[in-house]
Amino acid sequence: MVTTKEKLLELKGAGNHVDLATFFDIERQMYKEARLLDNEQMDEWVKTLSDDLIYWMPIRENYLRKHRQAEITPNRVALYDETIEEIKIRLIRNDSGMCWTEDPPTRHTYSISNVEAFETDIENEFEVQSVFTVYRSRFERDDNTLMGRRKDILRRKDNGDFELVGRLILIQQSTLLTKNLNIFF
Amino acid sequence: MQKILGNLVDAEKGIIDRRIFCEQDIYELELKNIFARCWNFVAHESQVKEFGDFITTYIGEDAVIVTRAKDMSINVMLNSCPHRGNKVCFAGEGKVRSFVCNYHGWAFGLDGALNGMPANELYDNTPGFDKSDWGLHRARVETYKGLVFATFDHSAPSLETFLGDFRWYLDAILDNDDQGTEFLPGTTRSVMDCNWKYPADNFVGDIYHALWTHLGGAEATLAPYGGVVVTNEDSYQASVNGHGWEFSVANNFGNAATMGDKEIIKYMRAREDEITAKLGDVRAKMWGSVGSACIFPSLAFLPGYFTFRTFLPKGPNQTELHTWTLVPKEASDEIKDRWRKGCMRTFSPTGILEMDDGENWEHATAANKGLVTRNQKLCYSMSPVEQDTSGALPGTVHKGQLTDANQRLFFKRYGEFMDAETWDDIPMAPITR
Ligand code: FES
Ligand code: FES
Ligand SMILES: [Fe+2]
Ligand SMILES: [Fe+2]
Repeated sequence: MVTTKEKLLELKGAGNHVDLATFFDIERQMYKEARLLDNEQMDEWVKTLSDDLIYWMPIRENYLRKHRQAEITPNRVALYDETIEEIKIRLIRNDSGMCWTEDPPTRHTYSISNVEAFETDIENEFEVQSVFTVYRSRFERDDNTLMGRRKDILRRKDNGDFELVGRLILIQQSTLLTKNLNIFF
Repeated sequence: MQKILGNLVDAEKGIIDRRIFCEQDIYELELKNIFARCWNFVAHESQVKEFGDFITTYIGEDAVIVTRAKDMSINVMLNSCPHRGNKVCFAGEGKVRSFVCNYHGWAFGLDGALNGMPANELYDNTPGFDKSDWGLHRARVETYKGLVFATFDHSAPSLETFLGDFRWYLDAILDNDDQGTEFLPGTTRSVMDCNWKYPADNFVGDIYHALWTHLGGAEATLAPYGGVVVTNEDSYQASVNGHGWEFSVANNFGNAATMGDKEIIKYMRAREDEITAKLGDVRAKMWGSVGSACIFPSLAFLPGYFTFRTFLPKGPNQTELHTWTLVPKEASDEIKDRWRKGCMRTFSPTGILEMDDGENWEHATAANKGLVTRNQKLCYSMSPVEQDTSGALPGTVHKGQLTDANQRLFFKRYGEFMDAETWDDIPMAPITR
C-alpha cells in the first residue's frame, strides 16, 4: 500500500499493541536511528528509509478551537515534505565540502521516549509513536532544544530489518524559535 | 540623535557605521521614522479571500489584524483592545464574524468598530461616552496587484507614490497573465538573532554572497549544470525610492532551476513567449532569472522560487521572518505543489540556501556586542560597472548585478527616512510609467 500524508494523519494509536518481542525490536530500532542522527551517520541513516518513504513535518498554526478546517492539511506549506530522493538532494549540501556554516559541526543529542507500537492492517507494518527531544549546540553558546512527537509507519523487511515508510513530525512551535532546522527528526 | 546620512551612512562611498545595526536608540527611531511611517506589506489578498477571513501580523512591533469585511474591503487595525490593552485576536489566521476581547468581552467588528460589550448599560452614566470613539485603531490600507500594504501615518503619500516606478518591475511577477497570483496556504514563521537590515540589504542587492555562501547548498541542485553562475554580463541592479531588484536577463530561469525541479522550468518555458508579448523581454526574463528584491523597508522576494518574506523587527538583535510561497493562480495544482516543495527545499528554515544565510546574519549581528567592533565601519563600496542612463529601464539603474549599488541606495533611503521630520522631507522619485 502506498503511503500518503493523509494516511499519516490517520495514525491515532488505534491498533492492538504489538507483542513484547516485536516491541523490543522496534524500540531498539528507534534508539539506533537516534544514535545515527547524533553521530551524523547520514549514509547509514538513509539506509533505514524505504524507497516509498513519505517524510513530513508540517508547519503549525494557531487556530481558534471553533475553526472549521483542520490545522494540518497536506496542501499547506511545510518544513519537510520529502520523498527519499528529495532527502538525498538535501544531503548533498552536507557532503559538498562547501557548507561553511556547518564547520565546525553542530553537536546534537536525540532523546527518544514515549515509544508505543501498534499493529496495522498490514502484517509487517507497524504504527510507532514516539516523542523526541533534540538538543543542539553550535560554536560557543548557540543553544537550542526542539521537542515534538513522531508518528511513524515502520515496515519489517524479509531479512528482519526495519525500514521507515512514513513519518509525521509534529513540532509544537508555531513560530520556530530558531533560525533553522539543520537536522532530520 | 546624530544625523544618519553623511554621518553614520556615507551612501556615496558605501561606508556604513556598524552602530546602525545594534544601538537601541537608533532602533527606536527606526520604529518611529521607518516602520510607523512607511507602507508596510501585511498580506496577500488571497489570504483574506472571503468575508470574515483574517490573519494577524505585525507592522514594526505593533501587532495588527488584517480582515476582509462584509463590503469586501480589507481592513488593518491594531490587535490591542482600547479598553485595557489586551490582545484581541490570538489566532494566526481564521474566519470570524467579530473579535471578542478575552478580558471584559468588548466585541469588535471586522472593520474594527466597537459593536458592543457585556452590560453596556453600565456606561449609561458616563458623560459623552460614544462607542464610535473606542474602536480598534485603524491603519490606512492600499493594495498593489494582490499585495496589501498598510500605514498608520495619515500624512503618508499614496502607495502608488511610495512604490513609484518600482511597480513596473513588480509586474514581472504580479501581472504577467490575466489571473494574477496567490499565496499557497500557510505562513512559515521563524526567528533569527540578527538585525532586520542584514536580510533586507541582502535581498535588495547582494547576489555577490551567492558566489560563496551558497556553494554548498546550490551544489545539491545545480551541480549538473555547472554550479552557481552569476556574471555582470547582461545583468542589472535597479532601484526606486530605496526599493531594489538585482537581476540577470541572460541566465534565464537561473533562480527557478536552483529548486531542482524540471517540471517547473518546463512550465515557465512554455509561458515565456506569452509573457514576453505582454511585458517585453527584460521583465519576461526577470520572472525566473537569478535575482532578488526588497521593497523598502522589509518585504523581500525572490523571482523564480517566489518566496515572499517580511523581516519583522524584534529589537536591534532579533528579526522574525514570516514567509510564503507565491504562485501564478493559473498554474495547475500539480505545478503549485511543486513550487510549494521547491520553495521549502531552498528557502525555509530547512532550506538548503536559507540555512546558510541565517548563520551569516546572526554572527554579523553578534559581533557588534564588542565595543571596539561596533565602532568600526562596514564596506559597501563595490562600484558598479557603469550607470545605465539609456532610460530603457525606470529608476536608478546600474549595469551588472554584482555590485553594492542597490545596497547603497537602500541605506541612502534609510538615512533619508531616519533624518526626516515629516514626509515632506523625504524625496520621491518621479513616476514615469
Ligand atoms: S481589555 Fe479588552 S475588554 Fe477590557
Ligand atoms: S565576506 Fe562578506 S561578510 Fe565577510
Ligand atoms: Fe480576575
Ligand atoms: Fe542568500
